[in-house]
Amino acid sequence: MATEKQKQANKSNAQQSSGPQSEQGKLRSSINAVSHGLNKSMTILIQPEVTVLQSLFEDDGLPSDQAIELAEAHSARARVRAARKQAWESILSSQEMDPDERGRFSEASPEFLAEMDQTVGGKEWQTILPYFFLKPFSNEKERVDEVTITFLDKQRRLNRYDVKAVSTLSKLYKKAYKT
Amino acid sequence: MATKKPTNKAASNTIVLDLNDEQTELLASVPWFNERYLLPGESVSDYDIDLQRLVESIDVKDPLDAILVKEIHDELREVQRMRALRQAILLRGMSHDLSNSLTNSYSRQDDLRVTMAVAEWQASPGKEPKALLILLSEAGITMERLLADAYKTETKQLQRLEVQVARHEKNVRETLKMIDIRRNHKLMRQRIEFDLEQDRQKLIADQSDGD
Repeated sequence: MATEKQKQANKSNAQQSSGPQSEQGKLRSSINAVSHGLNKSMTILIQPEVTVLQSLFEDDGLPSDQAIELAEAHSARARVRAARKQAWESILSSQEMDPDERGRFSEASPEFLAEMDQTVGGKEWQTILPYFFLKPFSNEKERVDEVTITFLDKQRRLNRYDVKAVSTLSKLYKKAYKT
Repeated sequence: MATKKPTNKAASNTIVLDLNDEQTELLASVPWFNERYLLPGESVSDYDIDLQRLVESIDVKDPLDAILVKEIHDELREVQRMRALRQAILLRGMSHDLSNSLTNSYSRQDDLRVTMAVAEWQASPGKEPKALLILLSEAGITMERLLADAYKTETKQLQRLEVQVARHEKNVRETLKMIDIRRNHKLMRQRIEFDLEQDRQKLIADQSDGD
């Protein structure tokens, strides 16, 4: 176990750190804030939307305690979604690569566009693909692979909060609306 | 339930559903309800149109239904983003394997055919442009092999991605169950209230007969 002196030294060294130097390190730390605050109890932080949601559940015939639990759980789920959005935005902004390196789809055939719409189930690929697809002979593959893995790991870490939020909501719905 | 067509005003501010004024006001005060979960470059109108379709197919009846349907909508969009990322990973892998294969067989700088074929493929990756097929066949490679190799080389990323797709799909199923639970409860409550009312009427009738 570290002594008090060692702890002080660690603290002092950490304060002098200028942060991550490599591109990968910067990316990792740029999305560290994403999960911050997801564990906070909403009973401490009663926010306006919780009060509104509580009244919606009360109007639906639930007692106050169940109504507030459900409102908090919905709010917690919304915070996980906001964290996921932040993770996406971080990775997209970190992928500001040379446009010459990216694949381009401006000349893509209608068949290709239709096939992509069908495979993905929507138009989202038009936003995502240009950030992650590289044209042949690009030197960026290794870097983009690393960035993608870092992003997916970050999303996986958020799953913990997601599972907690959704399973809590499920249990509360079953309890409140049991037949 | 029909939804109001998204107007320009609605597209820039709030998500408009066909609820009564009081319900609409209540939803407007749930800040994250009116926040569209959009990434830079994604279209507001696509988001609203898809949400409207979902609202109609699930037959949203009140604000609580609307909140759950929006949860489903956001999860489904996340699934689509992950599928798009999967396509990008596979195409990136194919593009890389294609570069390696062509480099091994042709001199890229000297051969205009390679430049032309690659430019053609790049516009519609995954497709089989003639010029490229000729080069690949000369080198003894098929597009199927490129795709199979991409699956193999990108396994690490694809496995991580499948975990995410499964997570969001599970969230959709769980949220649908929540809608069902609430609706079944409502139905049961209506039946019980109906039965109680019938009993009450019968009791009153019996008492009148007794008198």
